[in-house]
Amino acid sequence: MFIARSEYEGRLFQVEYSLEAIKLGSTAIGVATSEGVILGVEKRVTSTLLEASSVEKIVEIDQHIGCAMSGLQADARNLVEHARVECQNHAFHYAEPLRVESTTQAICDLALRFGESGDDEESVMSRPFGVALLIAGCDEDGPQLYPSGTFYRYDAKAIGSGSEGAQAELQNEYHRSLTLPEAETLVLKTLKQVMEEKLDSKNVQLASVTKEKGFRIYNDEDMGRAVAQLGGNQ
Amino acid sequence: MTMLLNHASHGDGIGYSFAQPTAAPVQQHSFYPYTDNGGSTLGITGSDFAILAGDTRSTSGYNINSRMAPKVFKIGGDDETGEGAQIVLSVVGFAADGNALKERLDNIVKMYKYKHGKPMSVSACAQRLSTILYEKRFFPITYTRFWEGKGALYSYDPVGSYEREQCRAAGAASSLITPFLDNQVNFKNQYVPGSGEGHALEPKKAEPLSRSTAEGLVRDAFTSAVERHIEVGDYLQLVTITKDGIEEAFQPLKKD
Amino acid sequence: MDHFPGTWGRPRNDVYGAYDHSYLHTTGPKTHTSSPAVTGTSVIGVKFNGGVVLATDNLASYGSLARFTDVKRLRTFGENAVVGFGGDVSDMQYIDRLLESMDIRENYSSHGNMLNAKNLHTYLAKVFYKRRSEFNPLWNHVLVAGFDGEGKPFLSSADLLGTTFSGPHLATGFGAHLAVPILRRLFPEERPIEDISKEEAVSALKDCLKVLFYRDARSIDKYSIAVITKDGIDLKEDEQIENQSWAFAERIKGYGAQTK
Repeated sequence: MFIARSEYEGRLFQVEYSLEAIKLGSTAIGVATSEGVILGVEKRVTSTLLEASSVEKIVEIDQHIGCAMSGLQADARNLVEHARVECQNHAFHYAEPLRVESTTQAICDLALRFGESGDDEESVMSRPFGVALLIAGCDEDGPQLYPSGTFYRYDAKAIGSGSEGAQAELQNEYHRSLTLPEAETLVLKTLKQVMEEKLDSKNVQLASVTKEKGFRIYNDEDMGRAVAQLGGNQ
Repeated sequence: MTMLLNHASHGDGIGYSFAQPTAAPVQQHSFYPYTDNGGSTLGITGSDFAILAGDTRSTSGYNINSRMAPKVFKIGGDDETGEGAQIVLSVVGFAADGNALKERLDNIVKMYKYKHGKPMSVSACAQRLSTILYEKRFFPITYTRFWEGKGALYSYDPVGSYEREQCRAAGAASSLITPFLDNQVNFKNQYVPGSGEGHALEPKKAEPLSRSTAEGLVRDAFTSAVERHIEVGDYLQLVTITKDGIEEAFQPLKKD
Repeated sequence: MDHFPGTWGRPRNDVYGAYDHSYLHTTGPKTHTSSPAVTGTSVIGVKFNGGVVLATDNLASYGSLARFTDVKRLRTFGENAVVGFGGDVSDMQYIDRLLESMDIRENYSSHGNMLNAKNLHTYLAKVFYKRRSEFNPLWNHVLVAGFDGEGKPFLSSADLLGTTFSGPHLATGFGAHLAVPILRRLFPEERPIEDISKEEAVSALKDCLKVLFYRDARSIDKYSIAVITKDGIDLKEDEQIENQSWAFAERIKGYGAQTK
């Protein structure tokens, strides 16, 4: 697969470049609790002329799975489309939702299909995806959070430009008995610390995945409430 | 002699050895890709068990191919022993299709476990079997088949329509066994004695059967079917699925 | 004098009518073999203590014509497996080439040919099933004899549809009607295979071949017989059915020209 560019020290430059690309992306954070998972992203509204509601950085994969993205959004569309098809296919064949881990695995399978094609492989991509995803879902094993690429499961994970600071903050603040509203606040609080702009209900987006309601993206009212809650806490 | 001299013009006289365009009717190929290998199968479920049974006779017309060709298969277990399986499939009709279907489903159930890290549930397997059959919508796999596991019983037609049921008989003697099951499992035409006159007579309510009752019904169904159907006989393969696993037993039926 | 050399030596149209070209039609859907052409009749086999015997006669018929009278229908595979072919002879030759190339390929591999009769039977059944599913069947019914993975005697059948079954004794074609009842009487189900000697099995098959020769119009009194044991395959391909007694024929009355 990526035999092509491993110049020295066994480092795969193509991969490292794509990891760099992801570090330039906006920050995205996920926090898993026993009640559900909260995803949050900063929207980076770079111009006052930009319609904030058109920036879509959290999307639905299936009723029970959603994901937040950081990096090249065009690349994310490919991955998300692939994951959606896998989920629908599984539901069609097995009359049950696809597990969160299997969905992540399906995304990882696609993410690794770059480099040089083998004999019987169909055409592959010339470069790795320049995007990272946070995949949140609920299945029979409860609420779960996976970053794309490595599919180690995390309780809380940050990706993107502010990920280092955010991850350290999550490390300090996370505990297993978090409630869902507490997780909302933790996500917003962490985002606020790493964002350049001042956080408001327009330049961040939240979403939740719970056993009862599945994937749900926050509307303006929900966002207003969550941001107000953050203000109240501080 | 005259005939030889008055030879017809060679337009229709010469027989060419290569093909001539003809208006001959198109010959349809007569190869029929199915055969009926006879036999019957029967499934009954109770509250905490399921039974799938079948005779072991394999026939071709009036010939008996084999007296020991089981048609109830364990799915997703060890290749040789079937150990570890939680799903059982029985197929009746064309045995070669039955074997191909068994192997395909077995593969899929095993791959599912590797891929998703959990055993396939019976309901998932039921839906998957339906899509397997429907994929071959225009070259259906066989006549009737049906299968089950873990206290659930699903039956299928050759193109994948399926239904979860309490009990079902399929195959050669299904028309003999089904009315017996209607009466003995669902208590059709049975009434509570002395509960009324005419329409007021109360039908006997169907209740989940005990395992021993169900096994008794299966045995009776087959011993009766053997009496009246030539394609059924030799041995009864009785597979019982409980939460503790799968038990399999063979017992003799009449061999005539 | 007929001045058209193209018609010389051909049946005369004024006597026999124009040649019927319909079988050579070039239009219409693509068709595959829809019936066999040159065929072999029954194959019979019996398991015994320590091995299996398989037998066929040496005839290949073209319809009711006894076309080829010295055709070997038992084909060996490796050290301990034999396939007996009934049905289309050209398809048999195709399968034989298939098995030969597989045998060679296996022998060149580092482990040598370790495929036993059971493996061979599974393979053949899949070939048959695949071809029937393509509506292009290999028109055969075969018996495969040898040993399974545990070294126990193995005898199994596979036909053009991919149907498979096995048993202590098997017969295809006419043999299913005429030989199986004889074999079932000699070797009832309750009699263990360990109790059957090689000699008994061979003599039973010879009896069956004789009965088949008496009553199967597409059979001949030349036969092949293969005895498969752990020591290898003892294949005899030029045998003659002996001790024929046609005395019974005189007592057959009531059909044909003779009605009383």
